[in-house]
Amino acid sequence: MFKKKSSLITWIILGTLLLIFMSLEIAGHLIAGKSSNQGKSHFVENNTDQVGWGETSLKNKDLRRRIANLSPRELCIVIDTANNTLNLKKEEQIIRKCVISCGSGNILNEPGGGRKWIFDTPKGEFFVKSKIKDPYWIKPDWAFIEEGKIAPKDAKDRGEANFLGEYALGFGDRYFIHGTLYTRLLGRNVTHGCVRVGDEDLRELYMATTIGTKIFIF
Amino acid sequence: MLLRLISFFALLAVPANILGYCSALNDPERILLESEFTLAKKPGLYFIFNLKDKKISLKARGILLREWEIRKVRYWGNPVAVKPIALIDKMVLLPPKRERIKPGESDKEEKYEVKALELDDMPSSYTLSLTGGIFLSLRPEAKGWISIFPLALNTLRWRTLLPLKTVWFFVRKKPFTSIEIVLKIKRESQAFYWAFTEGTECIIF
Repeated sequence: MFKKKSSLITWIILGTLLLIFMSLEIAGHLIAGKSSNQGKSHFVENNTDQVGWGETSLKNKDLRRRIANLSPRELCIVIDTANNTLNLKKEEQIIRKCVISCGSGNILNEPGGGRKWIFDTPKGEFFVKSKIKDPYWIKPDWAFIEEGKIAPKDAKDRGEANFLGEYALGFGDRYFIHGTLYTRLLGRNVTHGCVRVGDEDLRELYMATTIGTKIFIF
Repeated sequence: MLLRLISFFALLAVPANILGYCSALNDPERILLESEFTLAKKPGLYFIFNLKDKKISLKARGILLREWEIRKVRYWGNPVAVKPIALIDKMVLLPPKRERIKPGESDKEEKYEVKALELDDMPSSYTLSLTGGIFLSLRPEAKGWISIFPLALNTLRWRTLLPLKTVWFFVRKKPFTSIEIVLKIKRESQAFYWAFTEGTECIIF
């Protein structure tokens, strides 16, 4: 008798829960259906029979022209950090394709200190800020910390020649497009944020670009 | 003739901005271009989800940087206004983890073993939360018999979870839109996850 009663109660509870669930489902479908029908569809067809279409078409043309005018007419650099490629472009034409290395995305925490570095290549729009021949690397603190060493206070103890290749193009907040000794790692995400390029490609980039050349990184 | 004259004077009486608004409603391309112009004027990257032509474009200053082909798309909920919206958050079951460098243990780069966050580490199925209660779910096109189970789960989610979420947002008086986008291959989906970062603006058309 007791077993029958508890079984019945269980079925009633399950039935009630199912009813609530189905009600919510139906309510959800109804609300979603009503929202979709409130005057706009997700795809609004371009009805060209409307009054003023000729004028609208001219306005569209004008808008397209204004957008096109925003794009750089000169050379620009487009960096794909996911595929580690760099394209030197002029409008739609690719002048040169390069295999590069971008940021590793790794994190370095300063032992016993509060500083933290995330080695990403920044994404967005930049421009060439500086052009340097035979760059000399002044190692930042993280380079010593990463090796488990203490960073020297004197700048002359931080220098390393021939590490960044023959040229460097500065952009953003102390980031550079520069050369590398580790050419076998080109195509991989191995840097501390800078963009490493092979010698020949770097020379071409240095010769072709000027201060102000746009750099787009994604 | 009289009817035409009356119509003409009636049209003159209507404020120009209303006429412009009416023609804009019938010209979604103009709305898209106007929205794109506001984004292209600013420095930085932006995305255009052209669901009609089935492609996603990554642009900056009006120039096309990369494009993704959309295989399938389906949507649920409130219509989406054609205006710039931003990515708030990426939601994924197992987010990619960054390596933590142990000081003093880094190899010399001659015998370097690459330990980095790369494209292959990115998830291929994920949901993006945008402003305005818009959720974009992206996944690669499923192929083969092995995809039956995740596809079934996805269909179940679409049919059961979304109505519940709709009610939840309705009770909170907030809009809710869910758009599912299927990309061509896994790598495309991973590349999109990589490229679309929090705060980046986009337009859904």
